[in-house]
Amino acid sequence: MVCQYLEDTFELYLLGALSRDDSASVESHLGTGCATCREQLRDAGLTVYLLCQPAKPARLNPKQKSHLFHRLREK
Amino acid sequence: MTALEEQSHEALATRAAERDLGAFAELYGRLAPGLLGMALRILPDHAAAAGIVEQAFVLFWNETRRFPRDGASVAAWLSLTARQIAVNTRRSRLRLPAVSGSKTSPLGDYAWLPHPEEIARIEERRELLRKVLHQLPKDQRDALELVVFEGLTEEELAARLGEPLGRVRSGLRASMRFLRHRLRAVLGTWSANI
Repeated sequence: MVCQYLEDTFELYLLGALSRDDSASVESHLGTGCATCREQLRDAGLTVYLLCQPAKPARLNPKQKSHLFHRLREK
Repeated sequence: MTALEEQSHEALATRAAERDLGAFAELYGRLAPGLLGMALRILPDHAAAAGIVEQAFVLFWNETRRFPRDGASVAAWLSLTARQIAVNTRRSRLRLPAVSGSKTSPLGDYAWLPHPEEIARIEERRELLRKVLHQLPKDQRDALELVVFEGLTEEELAARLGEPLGRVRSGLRASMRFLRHRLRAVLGTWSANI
């Protein structure tokens, strides 16, 4: 893959939807420190955040919060 | 000291790095309901989804000291991390391999994290952005849902839809390009013609 064609792959990369070869190409290119692609990766992070948002939040059971904070206090 | 309710997610995370459980509880109260809503889209079993949210917060508690102090959104980190855990749990139940990059998780470093201000603008304009999502043709929206909430890879999606991989791949990338451009327009200016 060539740098300019990577732009449309970053969202799918963050979602884990690319093939291993395509993921490896993205990682390898990002590893070169390409500033343009790192900026595009952040843009992709925004798009993926938007896609992951539920139509509505769900109600939490207070026991779930207690369980979490009990675990954290034990750490 | 500023009341916890008035602090940003990132300021609360900084206090959590100093092991302030009160600040972490405030963060949990703000973000956990949305994360649970998302996890339930992926795993409809409430106990499992709640377990995913707990796992994401435990990971973040362990991560707070390493988490960047400036310019990185806590809500985005928690959201994509919880989504990845939920998707991998779902895939494991179906005996499918975990989704990730070729070597490590793409979420393993912080380079992808958007700025907190950008995430705040998404939250402010969420209704408008929901309309943007609905501007995509239904088949493209359905394909995105399968990737985001069922955790299908491009190849798995092609098999599920019974379509050639090239066509599915082009469709997904075109959808992402459309959303990215519309999102930039919405976040950049209120006058965007949505």
